[in-house]
Amino acid sequence: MAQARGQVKYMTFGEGGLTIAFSALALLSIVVAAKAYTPGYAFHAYLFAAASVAAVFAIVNRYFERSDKPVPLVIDGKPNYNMGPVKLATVLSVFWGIAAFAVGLWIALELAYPAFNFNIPYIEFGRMRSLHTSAAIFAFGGNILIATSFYVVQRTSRARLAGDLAPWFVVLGYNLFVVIAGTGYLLGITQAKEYAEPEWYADLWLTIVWVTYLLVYLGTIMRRTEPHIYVANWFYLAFIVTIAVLHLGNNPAVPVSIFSPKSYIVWSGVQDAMVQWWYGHNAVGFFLTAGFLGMMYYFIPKRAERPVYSYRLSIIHFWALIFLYIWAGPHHLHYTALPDWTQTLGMTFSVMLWMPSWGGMINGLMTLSGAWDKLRTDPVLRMMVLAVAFYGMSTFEGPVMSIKAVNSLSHYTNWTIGHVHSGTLGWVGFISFGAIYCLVPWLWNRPLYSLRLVGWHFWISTVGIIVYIASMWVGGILQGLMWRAYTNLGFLEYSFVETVQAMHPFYVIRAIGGGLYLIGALVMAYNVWRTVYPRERLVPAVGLAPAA
Amino acid sequence: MSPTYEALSHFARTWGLVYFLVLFAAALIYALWPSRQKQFDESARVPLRED
Repeated sequence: MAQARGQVKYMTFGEGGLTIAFSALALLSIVVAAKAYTPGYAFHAYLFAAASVAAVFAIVNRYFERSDKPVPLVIDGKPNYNMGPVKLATVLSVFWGIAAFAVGLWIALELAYPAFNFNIPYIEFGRMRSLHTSAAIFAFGGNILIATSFYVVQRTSRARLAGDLAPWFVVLGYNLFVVIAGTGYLLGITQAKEYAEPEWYADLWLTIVWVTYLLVYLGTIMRRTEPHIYVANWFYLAFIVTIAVLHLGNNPAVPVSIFSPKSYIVWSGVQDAMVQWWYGHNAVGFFLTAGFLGMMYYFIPKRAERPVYSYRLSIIHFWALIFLYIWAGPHHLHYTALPDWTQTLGMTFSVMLWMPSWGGMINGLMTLSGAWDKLRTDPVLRMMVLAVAFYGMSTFEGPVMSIKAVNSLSHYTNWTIGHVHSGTLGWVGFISFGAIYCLVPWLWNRPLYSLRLVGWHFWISTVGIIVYIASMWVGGILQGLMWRAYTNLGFLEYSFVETVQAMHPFYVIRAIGGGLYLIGALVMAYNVWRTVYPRERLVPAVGLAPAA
Repeated sequence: MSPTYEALSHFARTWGLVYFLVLFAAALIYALWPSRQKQFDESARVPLRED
């Protein structure tokens, strides 16, 4: 016994505090579940209760298992990196990625062949679409952002991740949020705000998780042994801080009751719309751009074994992007009740965004100068470079679409869907896949199972993206032109259903593109699986058996 | 109601502009200051350092 040797093991403040907090949350959740107004909300309350009980068990169990000394920050002069939460978030992002792409393919098929919803309300298009966007952005993107940010901040600060339980709380708590959000959409629990669908209780939970995330990140930077804060950390930090601000700004809602999932937003009318798209566009700007730029500034130099092309440009890139992005939201509300000057302001800032976006793209691409030959031999680097190329392309397309005259053609059509997917599948997806292919061998300390399979993933998914966005460009512009076509008597030339009919072939082609992208991701999942659990380990064991 | 809106929007339009321009100019000066070249060259290599 520890006591016999005169050493008493105490629970840390964090362990004790979290045990009490989770026990209280479990009790509260059970009370809420018992008195919930709707079955869906009761289900969520039970989920919270189950997660809280599991957390209490995990913390207490960990307390009995661990040694009575605190984990050393440095071992043999080297930082004792904490990679457990990074590993978990990386694996979860692969899982959620496949879920998101599969749901995307399903709803693409529903649009082409509506019978695919089988008249089941839980899987009809409106509910599944938000499941798809949230799974792709928040579940897949969010997990890889948490994973890479925790990895990069440790490596570039040369310090162990701050906090003991906190990093695990961030990863697990965030994924609980993802599950609550996703199941909520299918059950019909939604605020009906783009990218901000989760209801008030999920929002509150995310706030706690996100503040912890910020504190862990800041704490790690503060204990750094590297004097300079590397630029990737600036981008990650901007992503974390801005998402916190956006989340709080867009979600001040008053619940009907603590026993009801329904809430009402405090903003009204056009102000609500403006706040929503200030949030919505900066979810793109800071979640899908700033965070992934942090990834670009670490993983491309590391993989290419070249320094950042211009560190000065990276600083200017950072500040210009931060200053401009935050104003671009109103371009989502052209020709609405929003004041004209606000629309013009949104359009102007969107066009100005060209400069930092392309500055960043040039910086990413030119980091390969002197190492271009690696594109021929390293499919992982090729994937990340194509991601940067897609970044350049979609940040060129976006400003064009934000111009009012262009927007009058493109808005509400599938051109928008094409644009979003060139950004998400091309930029966000490929830079994340590149980071996963780098991270998994580094984290598990063994070589990647197969580079050839990475090459297959690259080509299958690239063809998928091109098929996807080309069909949506052509289909979207066709849709827009049909909507605005007049006869010589001044009547609309096409009824709405005719424009829907015209989209059918493009929807089918899009589903094929999305299917290819999903196949590519499955190839990646197999590759990751085989890297983490290599088959070769069994071979020597079998070979040695007769000798023994 | 309207005087408050007018005053606020006037303040935001003028002083907000000045504030952001000064802040951005400061970032530019920081980034482009010639003597920082050496420091930035080192910073650009941070990901390449192994431990």
